[in-house]
Amino acid sequence: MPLVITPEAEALVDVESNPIVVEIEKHDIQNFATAIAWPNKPDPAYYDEATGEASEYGSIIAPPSFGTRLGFIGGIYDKIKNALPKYRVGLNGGLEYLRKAPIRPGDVLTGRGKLANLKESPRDDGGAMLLVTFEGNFTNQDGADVLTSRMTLIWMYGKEDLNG
Amino acid sequence: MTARTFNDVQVGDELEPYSVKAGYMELNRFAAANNEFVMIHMDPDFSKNVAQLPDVIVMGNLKLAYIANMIDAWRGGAGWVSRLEVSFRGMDPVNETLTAKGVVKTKREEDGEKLVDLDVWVENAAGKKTTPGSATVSLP
Repeated sequence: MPLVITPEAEALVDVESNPIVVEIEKHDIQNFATAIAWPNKPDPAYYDEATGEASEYGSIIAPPSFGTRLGFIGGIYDKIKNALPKYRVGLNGGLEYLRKAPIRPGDVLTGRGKLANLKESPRDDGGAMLLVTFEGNFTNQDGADVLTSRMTLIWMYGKEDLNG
Repeated sequence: MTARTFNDVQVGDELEPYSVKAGYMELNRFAAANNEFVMIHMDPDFSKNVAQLPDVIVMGNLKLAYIANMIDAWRGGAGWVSRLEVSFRGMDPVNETLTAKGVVKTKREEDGEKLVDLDVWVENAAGKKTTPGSATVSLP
């Protein structure tokens, strides 16, 4: 018998969310580049327009970890949370980004998210740990694949929270 | 900054470490740029007295960015970071000096691409790896 995973939660795996559309503005990229470099100067490839125009990409592009700026799990998060017992402690377990094409100012990205996986395991204290993995796939205005994002949350349950 | 090539790279090469003392200025700027306004990353009173943490905690997303900065400096503008992955194994409090480090794990060619796989991580001032991960970079 599953520890915390309910049939309602299981049924949400691989169900795609409504698409999220994000317009990328120049200042979003520049502010991100400034923040991740602080207190040093930002990488010109992500900040300086003249450098960007002279590059193979023809403009500044978003830094490699810009995917953290692109939300995709909004509606799915509430659905899965409501389909499971309430957890005691929630932690960010990890992130993965597969970058397939540059993100440029003016791009209009469409993100489609889903709950990719649920994996539970017992804990020594009689409770359970649940790994909740979300996946988002972004395409740009030309239909090109740009980015796949994966985020794994860790939800901790006490013994008294478990099924049955 | 020298553009790195595939032939420059040897398995076992270490990347130049990238260190930052992650204070409130770093966290608050990143909170705004990443639209990440979470109390445990902003408010010491909430962090200590409500969340029962030792202090405000550095965002995992910012630690990932420091790893990416290290890789960017290493590749010297050449190539493309095609994959970035991290696990968050430990919390780092505000004002901790964080250092991103990395080492070349493998070199391979796949579908005509010259790929370098890296082991990467962020460690705290005591040398504990709080954020281990991996990355793949294609190089010319």
